[in-house]
Amino acid sequence: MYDLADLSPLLSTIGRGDEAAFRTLYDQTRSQVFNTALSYVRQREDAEEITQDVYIEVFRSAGAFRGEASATTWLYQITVRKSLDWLRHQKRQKRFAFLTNLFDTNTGAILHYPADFGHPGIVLEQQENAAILFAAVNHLPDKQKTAYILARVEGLNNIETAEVMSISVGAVESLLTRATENLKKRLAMQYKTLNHP
Amino acid sequence: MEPSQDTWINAILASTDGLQRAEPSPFLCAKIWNRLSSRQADLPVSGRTVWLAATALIVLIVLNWTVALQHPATTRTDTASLQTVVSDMNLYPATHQLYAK
Repeated sequence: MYDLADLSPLLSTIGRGDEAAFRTLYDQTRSQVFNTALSYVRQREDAEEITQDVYIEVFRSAGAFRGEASATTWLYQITVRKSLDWLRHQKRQKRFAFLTNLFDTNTGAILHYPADFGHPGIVLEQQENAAILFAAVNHLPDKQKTAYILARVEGLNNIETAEVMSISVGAVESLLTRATENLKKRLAMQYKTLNHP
Repeated sequence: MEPSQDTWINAILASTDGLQRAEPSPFLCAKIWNRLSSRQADLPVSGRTVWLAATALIVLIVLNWTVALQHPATTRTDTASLQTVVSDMNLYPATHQLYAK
């Protein structure tokens, strides 16, 4: 799955606190974890924070990994959960920001993220279009968003996506259809706004 | 849907085709390991010990509470007998002034 060797033996070694095994797992999977998180939060620094949280949880709970799902599925599940938690936290922070102020009290940085996001893995000429797409994906309901990111951005097939989301393949197909419809609707509105302001 | 709108939407949806994987900072693994090490250092006692201490404290509180509920009369009796002694021996102060002549 996902061109990765079976990582289960590594997890049992990590469960015993082995740093070398942890680094091997990190090297083999960091790209998947980081890119998935990046698709959700659209900020490099935040995606790195989530990646840190994911690997800390992996290290802590590696010993409890029973192998019901594959190790990579488990890793994706943790990443998706952490990313969605991060987005919820951001949403709460945004609401609170209206009551307090719009800037971070420590750094003075604006708390509201800009809509334009340049994914570092996208070629320059597609950056603008990708920024529009990721902004639209951000408005999808959580399940549609997860299905879309895993299948359309991360490139997992529907079976793999279903395993990560713990739902049926049919449910994934349905979520992807609805996600694409919703994206088209939102983009159509945006097109009209852009061309007939 | 207008043809140009359709084309634009399809171009947006296809913008992630051929996406290259982005890499996190090269120092991220060291950061993670540092966080793990510092958190382990923050916990000099095991979780089991913490739970044992918490349980012992709860048991102690419950026992004290139970004992206090079972023997409230003793305190009242002691207070009553003390008052009897005070009244029998006229131990009330004649005046509130200390060292009165």
